[in-house]
Amino acid sequence: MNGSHLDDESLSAALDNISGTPEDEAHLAGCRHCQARLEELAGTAQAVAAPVPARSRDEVDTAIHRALAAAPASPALTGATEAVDLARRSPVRRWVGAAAAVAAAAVLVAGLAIGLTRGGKSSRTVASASGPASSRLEPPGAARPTEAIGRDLGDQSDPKALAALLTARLGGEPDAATGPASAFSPTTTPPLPGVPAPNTPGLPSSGEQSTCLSSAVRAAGLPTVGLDAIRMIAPLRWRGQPALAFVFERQPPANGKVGLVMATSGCTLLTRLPM
Amino acid sequence: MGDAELVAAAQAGDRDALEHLLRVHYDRLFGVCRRLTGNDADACDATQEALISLVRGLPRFDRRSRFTTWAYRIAVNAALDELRRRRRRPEPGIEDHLLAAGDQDEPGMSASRVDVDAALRQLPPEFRAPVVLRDLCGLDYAEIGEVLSIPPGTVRSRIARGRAALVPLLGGNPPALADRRNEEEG
Repeated sequence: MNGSHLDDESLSAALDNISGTPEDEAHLAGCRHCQARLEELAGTAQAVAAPVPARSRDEVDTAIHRALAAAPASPALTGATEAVDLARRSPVRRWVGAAAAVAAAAVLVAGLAIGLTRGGKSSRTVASASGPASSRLEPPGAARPTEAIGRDLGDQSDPKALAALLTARLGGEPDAATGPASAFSPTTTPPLPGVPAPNTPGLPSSGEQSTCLSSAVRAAGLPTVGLDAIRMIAPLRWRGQPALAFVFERQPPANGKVGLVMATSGCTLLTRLPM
Repeated sequence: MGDAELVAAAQAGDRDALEHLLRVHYDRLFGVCRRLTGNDADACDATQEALISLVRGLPRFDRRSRFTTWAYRIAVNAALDELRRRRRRPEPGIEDHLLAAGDQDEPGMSASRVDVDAALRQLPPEFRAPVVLRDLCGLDYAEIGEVLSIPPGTVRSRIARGRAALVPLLGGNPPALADRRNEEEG
């Protein structure tokens, strides 16, 4: 109350259907002065509420296309949030960085599949083929080349044994599945049985392979990954089924590695590895 | 598809969803910018900046608030930035607005719109924004508080003071100003 009448704040709140005290409401119901003031305030609200003339369709189109041009690529591999290592960059760099990771990862996976199905390209060939593209696309300091990409892990059925094998490879140790890295060559690597040749219908497209990587990221429970977080993508036969093993490096503060095996066909999760 | 679905799809990289989201909200964002800046040119610039900020910020939008609330906050900030830039440029006076309005829209509509724009421009931005968000956008006090980062009690107070300040500004007969100026020039 302002003296014997309601103040503007009470009247304005009443205008917005916010109940006052019973005394205020009783006063308003019987006071012509306050009712007149309420009408004045209501008049201003109506004036401000008058619709703003819409812009022409061309103007709207132009504005929206300009805005979309500020988002040149998909923001993330899996969408909802961004990798921690990308979060400190400016918005533009973050989008470009994420797009680079997607593109480079797609190149890696596509190259891997082609190399495997032809049986004539080694993991090193795949790695070097993807290298220039990666170095061109990746943001500075993002790349952490992984020598083990593409090396066949052989027949596997025990998650612990496979995790140990991957850990050894990441540490640069030779293993029984394929021998030391230096022994690996195009001529000694047989094509994987059951994997179609490149031109055979049914070979996943690079887009589908990229989708498989996205599925692996989701299955790993990671919001998304930058290229530098992909430590290994390697083929194997998991209990007789063609598959891919993925190892991701968690970003700080959640450190550690995440390993899993995905079916080549359908990109479904076959098992998690105790890394 | 609602905002939540569009936002999720856009965050997952669906550009069609992102474009649709921008189209759905363009008019209301422009409306806020138009009322806050007081003219079409500045409102277009502010809306453009808001759309760009929205697109760039969408990956960080955590969906804890409604998308519209978040989008309004971006639009208000863009409009206030535009106002700050405008302070460095000559500003048209109320009579310029009234004269320019003569060529636009329907006669009654343009006059009332210019009245509102001119009146709102007399309000400091900290009062103008809550009034616009309440009366044009229909947000409640809590939502306005979220958009402007002020407590609901402050929202209530500023809306009341803003409306009260508008009463005398909107209560005159603004077209008479234009008539008087025409007579003086004629």
